[in-house]
Amino acid sequence: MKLKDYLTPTLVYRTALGVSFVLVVSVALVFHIQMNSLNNSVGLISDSNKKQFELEKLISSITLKENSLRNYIITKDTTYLKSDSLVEQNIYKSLSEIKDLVQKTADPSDIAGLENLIKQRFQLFEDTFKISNSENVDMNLLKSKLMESSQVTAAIRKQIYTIRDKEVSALKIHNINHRYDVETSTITAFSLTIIVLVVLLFSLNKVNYDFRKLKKLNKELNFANQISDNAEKVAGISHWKINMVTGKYFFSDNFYRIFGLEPHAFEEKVENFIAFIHPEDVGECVKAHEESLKSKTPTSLTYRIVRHDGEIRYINSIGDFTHNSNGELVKIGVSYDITEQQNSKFILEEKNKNLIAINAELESFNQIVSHDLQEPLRKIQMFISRLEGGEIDNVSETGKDYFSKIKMSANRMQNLMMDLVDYSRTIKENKVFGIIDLKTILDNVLQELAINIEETNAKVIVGKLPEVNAIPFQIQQLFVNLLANSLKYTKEGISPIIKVNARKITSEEIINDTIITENKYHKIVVSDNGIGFKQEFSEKIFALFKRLETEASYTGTGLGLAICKKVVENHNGFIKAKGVPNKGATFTIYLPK
Amino acid sequence: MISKDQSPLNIMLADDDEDDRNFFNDAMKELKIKNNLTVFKDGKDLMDYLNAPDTVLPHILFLDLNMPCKTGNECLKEIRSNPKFKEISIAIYSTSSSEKDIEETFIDGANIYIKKPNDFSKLKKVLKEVVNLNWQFHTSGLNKDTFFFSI
Repeated sequence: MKLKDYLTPTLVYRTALGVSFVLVVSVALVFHIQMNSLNNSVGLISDSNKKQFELEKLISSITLKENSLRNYIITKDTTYLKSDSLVEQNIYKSLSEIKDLVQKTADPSDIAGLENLIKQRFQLFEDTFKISNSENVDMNLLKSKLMESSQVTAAIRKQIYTIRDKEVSALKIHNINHRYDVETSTITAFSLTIIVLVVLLFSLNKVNYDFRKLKKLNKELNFANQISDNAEKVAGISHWKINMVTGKYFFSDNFYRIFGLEPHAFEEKVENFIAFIHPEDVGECVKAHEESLKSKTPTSLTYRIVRHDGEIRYINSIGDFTHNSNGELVKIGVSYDITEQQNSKFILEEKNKNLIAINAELESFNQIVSHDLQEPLRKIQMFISRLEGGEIDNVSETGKDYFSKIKMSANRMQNLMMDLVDYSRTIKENKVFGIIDLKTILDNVLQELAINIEETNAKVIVGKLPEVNAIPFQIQQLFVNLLANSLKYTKEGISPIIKVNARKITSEEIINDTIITENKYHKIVVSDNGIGFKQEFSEKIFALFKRLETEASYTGTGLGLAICKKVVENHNGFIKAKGVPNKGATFTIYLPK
Repeated sequence: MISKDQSPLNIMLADDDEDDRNFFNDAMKELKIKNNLTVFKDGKDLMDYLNAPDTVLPHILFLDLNMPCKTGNECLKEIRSNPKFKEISIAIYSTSSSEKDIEETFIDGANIYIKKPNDFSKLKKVLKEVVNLNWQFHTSGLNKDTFFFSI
């Protein structure tokens, strides 16, 4: 969802920050306005109060002046007139005060009316004073003036009361407003505090969360580094970095340990490291290193190092170029101790040499068997045949029998030796595989056994056979041995019939934990109608020198099937035997494709 | 139809084993083929005789491989490198049946490879075959150098 992609944590937090900032500022602004309003209302109230006070003062001043004038008129005592000017001043002061205050609020016409009345009253004060001060006090005029004065005073008082009443009602409104202002500003102040607190709490929480996360990541990183270091220690691996921009070298902890030192035992300079390289290898190593740094190509080197205690270790070092998180070109690599592997390699090479020597000796042994042992045997046989050619007629029946037994033993020995030679050929080292047509092989086999086939009047039926990847002479040996057996172990009086066929592997068979399938193996079956064998011996018959029929009429060395098994094993195949006593034997060969 | 030459066959045998020489001789005798058989005890004697001037060269030379002084292989190489002896059929007559020996002698120019049989009658049979074979070549003019037959 695209929206979700936009709503990254950074964006969310930034928006929240912006919103809360705007909120706080606007609330603060509102608060400020409210404060102003509050100030205003307070001012208004105090003004109003002041006005009322001045009005009262005005009245009392006028009354005072009236009183003092009256007292003077009555007593003619001038002391009452002393404070006259002061009172007059006060009255005018109050009036001006009221006038000032008026400018902010109510009806200026009221004040103008009041002023007139006051002026009138003052005129009357003067008139009254003049009249009372004259030689002949005109009582009627005085009375009328006094009457007028009190009327004006009453009017003044009335006016003042009107103004005052107006003020009182205005004051009521001001009070209501003021209370409202107080309430709203309290609410605003309160909400501002709450908002600020909430924002503060959130930010603190976020900071705390981020800090904890960072701490956790840091811990994990430290832990990972520790694991890596341990892994290096266990595996004998180390890593290093060369920063191509700063020219700085970095060696991991295990790098030093490979040199048999504690971590950071020497300064991370290339000279310190080169000092450890074996004198015979150092030239090549340095050259390869410098070339790699120049051409920015990867390296893979094997060299020896000499530790402080003289021990020589084999090191394999692989490095390549890349860029680090700052975009700088660095060469990073791994160096590991392959001393164990090298030693194993040397031991293996030694063993190999030994094996080759042993093989050579076996080869010469083979030579001895095939030549030097057969020689005297052949002589024995030759002389026996010479005897049989003529001399034997001079010997008694027992003698003839003995000779015949000597001959058989000699023949047996020869067969044994030839089979041994065949067997040793199957385990020889140089096995050359090739694609061979089994049909051709079988033709050769039939040719080799031609005499036997003729003598036993045998019938060999060879079906269609595939091409296989095999060692020709060994495969031929295999079939020679199998067919020779079939020709040998025949039922008395019955001509052997031998069938050689290739079969399809229809169902999966499992031999020695390997699954045999049609697409992986050839299946060839050699079956005969001979004396067969008991199935319980089906494995035994492949053993070296093992024979089932020890009757003299069946000549055998016990090597034939052992050789077959060896040949099949050389080809990574399998051979299985199935026998039914007195019915025949079937040998199944599996060869990998 | 093989027309037999009435002149006797010159056969030579080089074998260090006395018994084998005797067997050979007896077999040839019993075959009743007219032949002049010359036997040698080792390769050196053989080569000395062959290289001597005025020697009558054999038609067939039976050569044993394992001989002291000079082995059959060395003699074979020497003979085949000398054009004077190119008419001689060389039959290797050895106890060994190793492929290595057969191959080597074939490459070095032997015509026939015979494994020494262990039966006297077999020996007679083999010799008869070899002699008859050689007659065919003698008459039909096939190149002896390129023919190889293993018994």
